Amino acid sequence: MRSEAANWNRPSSGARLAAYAALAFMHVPVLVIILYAFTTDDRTYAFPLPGVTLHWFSVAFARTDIWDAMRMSLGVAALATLGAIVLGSLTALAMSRTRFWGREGITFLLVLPIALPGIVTGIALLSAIKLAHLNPGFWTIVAGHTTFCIVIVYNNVVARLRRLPQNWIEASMDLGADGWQTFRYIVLPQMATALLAGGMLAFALSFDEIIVTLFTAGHDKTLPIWFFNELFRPRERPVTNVVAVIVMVVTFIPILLAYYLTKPADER
Amino acid sequence: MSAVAASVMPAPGVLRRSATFLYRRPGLYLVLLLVPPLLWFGTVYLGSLLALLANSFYAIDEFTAKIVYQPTLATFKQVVTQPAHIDIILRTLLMAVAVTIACACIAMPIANYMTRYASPRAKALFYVGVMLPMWTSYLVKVYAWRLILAKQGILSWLLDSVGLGGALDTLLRLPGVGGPSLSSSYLGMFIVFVYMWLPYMILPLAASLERVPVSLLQASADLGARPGQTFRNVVLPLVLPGLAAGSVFTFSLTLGDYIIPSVVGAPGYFIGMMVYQQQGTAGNIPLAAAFSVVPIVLIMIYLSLAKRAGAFDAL
Amino acid sequence: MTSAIEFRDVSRIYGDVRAVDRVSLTIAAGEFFAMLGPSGSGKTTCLRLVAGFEAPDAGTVLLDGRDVTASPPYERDVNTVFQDYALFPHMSVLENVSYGPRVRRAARAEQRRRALEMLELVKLADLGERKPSQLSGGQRQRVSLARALINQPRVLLLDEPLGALDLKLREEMQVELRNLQRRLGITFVFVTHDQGEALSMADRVAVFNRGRIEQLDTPRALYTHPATAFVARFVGGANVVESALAQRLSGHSQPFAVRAENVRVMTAGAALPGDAMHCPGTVLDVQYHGATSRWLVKLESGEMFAASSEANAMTAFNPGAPVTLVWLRSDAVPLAAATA
Repeated sequence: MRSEAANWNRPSSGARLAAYAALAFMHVPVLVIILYAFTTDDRTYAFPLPGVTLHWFSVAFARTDIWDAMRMSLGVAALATLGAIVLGSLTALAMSRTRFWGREGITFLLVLPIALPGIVTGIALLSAIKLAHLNPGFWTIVAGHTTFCIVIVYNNVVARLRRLPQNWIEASMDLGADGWQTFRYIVLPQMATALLAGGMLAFALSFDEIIVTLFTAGHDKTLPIWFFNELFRPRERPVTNVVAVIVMVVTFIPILLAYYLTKPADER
Repeated sequence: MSAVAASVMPAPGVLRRSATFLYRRPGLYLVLLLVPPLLWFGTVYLGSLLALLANSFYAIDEFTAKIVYQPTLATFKQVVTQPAHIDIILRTLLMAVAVTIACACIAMPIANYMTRYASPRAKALFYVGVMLPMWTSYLVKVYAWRLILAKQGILSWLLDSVGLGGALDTLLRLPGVGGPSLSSSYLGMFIVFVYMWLPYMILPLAASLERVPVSLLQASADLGARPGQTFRNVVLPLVLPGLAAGSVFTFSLTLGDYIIPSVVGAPGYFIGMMVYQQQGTAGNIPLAAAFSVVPIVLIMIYLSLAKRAGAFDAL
Repeated sequence: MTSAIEFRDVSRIYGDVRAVDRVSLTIAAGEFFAMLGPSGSGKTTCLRLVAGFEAPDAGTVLLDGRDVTASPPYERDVNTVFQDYALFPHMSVLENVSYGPRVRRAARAEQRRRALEMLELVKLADLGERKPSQLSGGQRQRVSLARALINQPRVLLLDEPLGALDLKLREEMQVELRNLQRRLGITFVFVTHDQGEALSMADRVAVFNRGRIEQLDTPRALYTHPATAFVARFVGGANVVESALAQRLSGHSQPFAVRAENVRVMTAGAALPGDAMHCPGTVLDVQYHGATSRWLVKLESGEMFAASSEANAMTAFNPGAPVTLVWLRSDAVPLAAATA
């Protein structure tokens, strides 16, 4: 009886195995990509790899179309992040303190671009572009990206601001600082890590974005768009893999950094 | 007296005067903060949604292939009456439901193990391990599966080496599920969908499971229930909100996706692909718009069902 | 002489709660003033109204005779020591203390000099480079004191400054604050719920209850002549005799208060001194407080009475013993007839 009571909460070894196997399985595809970037076979996706080489990395770095697309992606991501930081922070500053009429409406509005499927946002933006007789291209991509990056920055910053005790602001004003000074000396330093983290997440999201971008890009190509096209008319398959590794690294690192930045200080 | 001199305030400059002006008018301050973001959202996003709606009420002139700016329900009728279109909608819906169920079934043991049995260190490992794929580029993951599922790719090699190659071939010959290869079949698509959205199901589920008090499980065991019974009768009803929340993600993400059906797809169209196609080569934006209203409606319906199951409390 | 702080009919309302209900008071320059009361009585809100963190819904607040009702905190010559100190964690101790001169655009060297001066005053001169998280509670309190005094304000506000300290530290700080105030000569206003603290430190005390001031007086007057039943109970825990019982004991229906130390416990039926009031009852409990003992006696009519005396002054009465409570007529302090 005693041993049964102790065992009631112990998992079967099968359950433990299954759980760990599933966890490992979730990482297999990423490892596969990295693996295939080194293959010598440039016609098929045959496994096992016939040979291993670094050749494709140099090929990739020599191709101008890849660099053009990379530049476009970086440019879009930088501008979208900037826009998201400004607009997201303004919203966060407004929403973190007082209760006001329409507050919930604004939260709902901010989440909408991420809550509705990408194609809806994409086709909506395209409809607006066509109706306004604009040319889809770099600026329309930036506009789209900024819109759904705002909520990312907002979430990070508002969470941080809500943890800021009200009496720090009162203490600052009590000692002679007006609103601007209090913001500069007290609020902004406290907000900084959240702002940075939100910005990095926004950057990663923008760099990786494909679904909405395909609708708003016109003839311009971001790196994901280049990649997507390659999937149907591949020229040199392993080069595609090399680009995949690059995309992975560029999007993964900011997210990892953002994760560490937003962990509470005692857990780091 | 030095005490008096030291406490004299400096004459207020413009900056300070503006600060005091705003301090006394918190309403104005709020408005000033919110005007830029709301203006942006209003024009760029809400404006776009309105444009979408507007476009769905227009139609394309069949001869000139230009948009006729006259409100009509013809495009909507096209979407819901043409058999090919109904096929598309049903196919997408079916896939979304299948993926949701599969994700729930796979996520449950993982989440259960993670929250209930794993040591604190193992639990941290699991959480990070589940989040890592979420942080990896979407397109890269899809592409990776294309590699894995390809003819002569990793998966077929794996199955061949354990002698199940023949089983795979038979599976691929099934109508409706199979295709020329795994990487162009509904089965392959299904596998990729499940893989992609698994973390989105695991995390809310795990959060829900964490909230089930251990004392309830102990009470159930104390009263004689075996682990399976406890799970069915005690745990499952309590984690329904978490399941509902996760299912909202898997359902809506599958419903609207067009990348995965294109990359790992069978010939049959999905809603997302329809939308993408129609605005692209066909230039038939009204049809694309009307088509995209369908997932919006379906998701709204699903959301209201999920809300009843408590999904929003679990998020 | 204009008062340092004046409230004229000030009210602050949250929804339908009157946190501060038409309060008027005057605090003289150089006074050590205490606002005493239970939580929710409005004392902290009043302090915040002086500091400028909240604006009154009615009435005027004046500092040095000037109407500051609409002035933001940074325009008032008032500084605050917060209950949880509110030190800025991303700044060092020195930077925290020099914050005032810094936002007033003093030169860097000047900021440093004045900050060090202040830290000397609170005896923390060598902790300038530390961060607040590295300090003890008592040290943090001194830093917040130094930070509040560096601007040499006319008025210093302290919000429950000693609540977080242990007993010994609290007693030390009480003496230090009192000395500091005398040295600086500025007005101190502090908020507390501890009546012992208020009585021992302040020149005058305002007793708050439910948004109103029930009595504003010197500590001695509050103790010996409480005006209302609430003040009688809150300050020193006196026995309050309500109208009905008062009628039976004294012949008038006006309620009155009797301090426990003025009540003697005698055996039932013993000879009573002249000019005394008396009342029979049964001993409920005896509490030993070291130097004194405290008897809780239940009267026939059901009320509870407390009597205390030096430990060996009265013969021991055990719980259940029938006794008579006796006190001099002159020790009965009449209270306002309003309900407590």
